[in-house]
Amino acid sequence: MKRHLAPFTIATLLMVAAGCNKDDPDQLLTSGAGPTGCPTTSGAGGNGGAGAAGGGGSGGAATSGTGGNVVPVEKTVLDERVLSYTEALRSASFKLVGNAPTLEEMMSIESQPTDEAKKAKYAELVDKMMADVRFKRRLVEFWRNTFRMAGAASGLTPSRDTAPTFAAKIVFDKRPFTDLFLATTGTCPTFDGTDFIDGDCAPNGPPGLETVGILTDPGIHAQWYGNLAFLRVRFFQEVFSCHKAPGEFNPDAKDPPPIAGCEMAQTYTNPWDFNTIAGHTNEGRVDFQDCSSVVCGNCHGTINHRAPLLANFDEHGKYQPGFAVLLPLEGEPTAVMTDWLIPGEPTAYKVNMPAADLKQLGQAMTSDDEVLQCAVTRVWNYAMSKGDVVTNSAALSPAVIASVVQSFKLSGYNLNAAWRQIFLHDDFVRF
Amino acid sequence: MNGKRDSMSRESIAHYGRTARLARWAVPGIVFSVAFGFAACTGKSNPVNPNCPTDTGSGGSGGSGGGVTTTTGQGGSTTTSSTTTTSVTSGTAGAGATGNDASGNEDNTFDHFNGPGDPFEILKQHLEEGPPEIRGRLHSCSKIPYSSLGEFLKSRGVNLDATAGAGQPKTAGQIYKEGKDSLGTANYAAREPEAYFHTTAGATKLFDIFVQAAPEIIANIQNVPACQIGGVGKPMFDTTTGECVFESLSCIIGRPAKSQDIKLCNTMLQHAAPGNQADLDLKRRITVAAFLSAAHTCE
Repeated sequence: MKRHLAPFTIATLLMVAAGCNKDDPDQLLTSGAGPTGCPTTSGAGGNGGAGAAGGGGSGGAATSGTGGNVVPVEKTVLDERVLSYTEALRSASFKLVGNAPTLEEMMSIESQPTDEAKKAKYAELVDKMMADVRFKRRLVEFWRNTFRMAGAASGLTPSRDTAPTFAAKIVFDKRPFTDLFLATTGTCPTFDGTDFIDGDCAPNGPPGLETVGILTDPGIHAQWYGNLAFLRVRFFQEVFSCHKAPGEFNPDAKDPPPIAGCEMAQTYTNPWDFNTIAGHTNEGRVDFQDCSSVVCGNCHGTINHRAPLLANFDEHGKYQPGFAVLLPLEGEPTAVMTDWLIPGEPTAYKVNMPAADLKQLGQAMTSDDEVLQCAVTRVWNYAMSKGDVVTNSAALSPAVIASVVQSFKLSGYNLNAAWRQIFLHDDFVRF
Repeated sequence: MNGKRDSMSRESIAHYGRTARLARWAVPGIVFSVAFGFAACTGKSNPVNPNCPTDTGSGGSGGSGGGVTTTTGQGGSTTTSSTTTTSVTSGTAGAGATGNDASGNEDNTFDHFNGPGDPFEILKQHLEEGPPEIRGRLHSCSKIPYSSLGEFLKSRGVNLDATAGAGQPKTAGQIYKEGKDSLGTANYAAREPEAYFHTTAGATKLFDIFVQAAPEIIANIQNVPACQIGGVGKPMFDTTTGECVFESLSCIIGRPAKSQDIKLCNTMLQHAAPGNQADLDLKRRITVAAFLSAAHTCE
């Protein structure tokens, strides 16, 4: 962790090396056989940093002697980490209960005679913290920050607390994470600072679909109200798929253009048929088929298939029988289906994942590996102090959390267990 | 920068954004380094503490190697293995501290990295940390959430409701309560979550709080339950020897203090002018604040 306090110092050290990895920016700098034209880690060490205050200088080659052909030992920063259950306790304590550990807690680990004993004591303390009332508060705060919303009901504005509180309750109660999109009751609990209090949302959907997890949460729809329901699409995309639009990508994207007479500025990469979205070739009042500059359809191919599902909620998040979002055109007309899709085109979550209503949308999301992986990614990033996976560009390699995701699925989507697994993970206890 | 935003191109805005992100990531370490330098290494060369720079102005020109290890000598060290980083050098990188205190010089605290920068710094950051499979497994450095900071201060003996008398500097509690925005609290109405990382202003505010909290912590740490074992606490400094007390130092940094921590703590106190109680009190305050800053810049 502390190594990240000196990144600027180190950053300069890497300037030389940076230019040597332009063909593969993610390649380890220490690779013995560097890219063509780049020095390997053997060879002359340069002038070195002679100044006492300056210290390292830019490079400080890892060499033996002054220019011999030393075969480097393949290592990464992972090998430099030090196992520390007391350091892990400090970090975990702040994240799980919002305070540093007590002196007694620290010493209860420190006094253990072996690493195995320290590990067992640390695990015991993690369990204790995850049962603490303060963990509930941290969970509520975690989901408020994740959903970027909070606030009590006021006037026509609904509570913006119920959705994050529901998510926190699901985790604390060890319920399936998928309930977040599928539950039909109890989706509007409250939190009094100590306990979760069960609560149902007022019916907020068509007959038979009055409550569909957070997909019908009035707070979410009020917080993310906007033209053509695109903000809501963005919310669900970024929060639960962990990346910005486009939500889908066609690996076999073809160029030239799929539409006659359209000089594409770039390749159309969305898997949906270009001709299914609204634009100048059909009744669409906004041209999502524009291809003169940027290919709007690369994102809107997917966005437009999802947005109508979220468009019946007005600016106060209340369900209306008809579409209740506007178009950003003169007069601000209310949107109609052909503003998103051509007549007859069905809504969907993704290609081959049709969703005629919010229930089917919830089912599609919970069957999407991307969504399940995202849930774990967010917890991992929180534990490892990475920041938000989207807004802080803290994308995570699936390989890093593969074992946690697998356990998450096998556990019936118990995200509480994933939290525990992450805070006990080998990577979490190394610094 | 914000004033120019309207006239900036999209690329420029992105460029500035990346630079700001780097700054958020790097600044706490820089600010702390400066603060710590003031606390422990004030003045000229320090023959007692090898952690203090002997002087400024003679930084090395830097080697031209690939891998990175700590190196202060010539021609690369005798290290036989290379890694992707993390050995931390003393002083600043590259040319070293220059002794130039002019505003904007990147070697001093006036440079906050809020200005233009190279967007490829982000790439360099990733280069430093290695491939995604590696950097994803490393702890990063996020700030302590606002509410957690308050809970921590209270549990270590700080009265967040205390107010300063007329003409006196604000208490830690006042700075904490009035510093919400700087400390990055959420603005949900604008769909903004609490910030994960420090800004320059936030890190500075945090250190201000710690400096003002230190006297309260020194006075109360013996009596707070979080710092007691079996209901018995210890003072911050030994009443007989005046030296730093392991248990209390551990309690403020959140992990058991190491021998180096104790040694550094005592070294800082030794800078007090002999027989000058006021100076000793000041050094004790700075010592506690410096340890708090060092420990809690990252969550």
